[in-house]
Amino acid sequence: MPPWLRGWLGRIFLSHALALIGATLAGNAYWNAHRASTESIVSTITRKPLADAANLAFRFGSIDHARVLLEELQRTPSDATLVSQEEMFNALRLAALNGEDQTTVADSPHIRSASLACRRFRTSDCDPARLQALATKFAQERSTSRD
Amino acid sequence: MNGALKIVTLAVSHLLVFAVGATCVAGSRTRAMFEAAGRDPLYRIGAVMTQLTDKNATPSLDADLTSLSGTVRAPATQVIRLAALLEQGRLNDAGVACKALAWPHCDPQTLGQMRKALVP
Repeated sequence: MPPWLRGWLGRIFLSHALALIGATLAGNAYWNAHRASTESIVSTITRKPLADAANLAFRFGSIDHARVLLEELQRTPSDATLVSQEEMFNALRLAALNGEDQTTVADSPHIRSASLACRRFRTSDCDPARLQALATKFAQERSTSRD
Repeated sequence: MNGALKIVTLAVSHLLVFAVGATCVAGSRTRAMFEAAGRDPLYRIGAVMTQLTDKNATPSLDADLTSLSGTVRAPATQVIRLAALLEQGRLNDAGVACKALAWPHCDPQTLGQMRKALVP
């Protein structure tokens, strides 16, 4: 140990250095514990332009534009806790655009993927018939906005 | 300085070093994450839309949309532009953007409904 560390001043310096190391560890631990919520905020902000544009295109725009926006939104990485619900709504909107709310569930890939997304955040109310009814509501919302 | 005062002073100074150090580390990690996100034009547009950032503090909407065009398909950037203009209340510019998209209704009443759909 160097001589300047042997006195009481040296011991104070060492103990403060240890406190600083502890603080670094604690700061990192706090960050890791709250990282998910920060990532969720960043993800929500990043998705907002596409989500708003998809909402606009679906309600007021052409089918092609709505489809492109909804597909772009599906491709954008997002936070796992929020994505399932949004994924379900996107799939239902795509189902409404494709007229899948009028077909049988077996012929409806988007109703099936909406059902899968629904089961990731819900334990009930995910049956395809109910989701098909929801897709019909989306289709009605689209036609009402365009009247 | 008597013994008790020494102990209290030492405890306070250690606590201060610990609190400031931990806050700085957690803060710098959070700041780094937002700075990294800020390099993404979609995040910057989203931050202006959510009014987290002053629109004058970031590159212009058109500059961000141009840098987006490499990753997002063409009509998507135009619709994002329309959404951003509506949220900023620039209805005249939004009308022009809407007509450029060849959407069926671009009259002021429909633009008002579009804005209401975005900004309830």
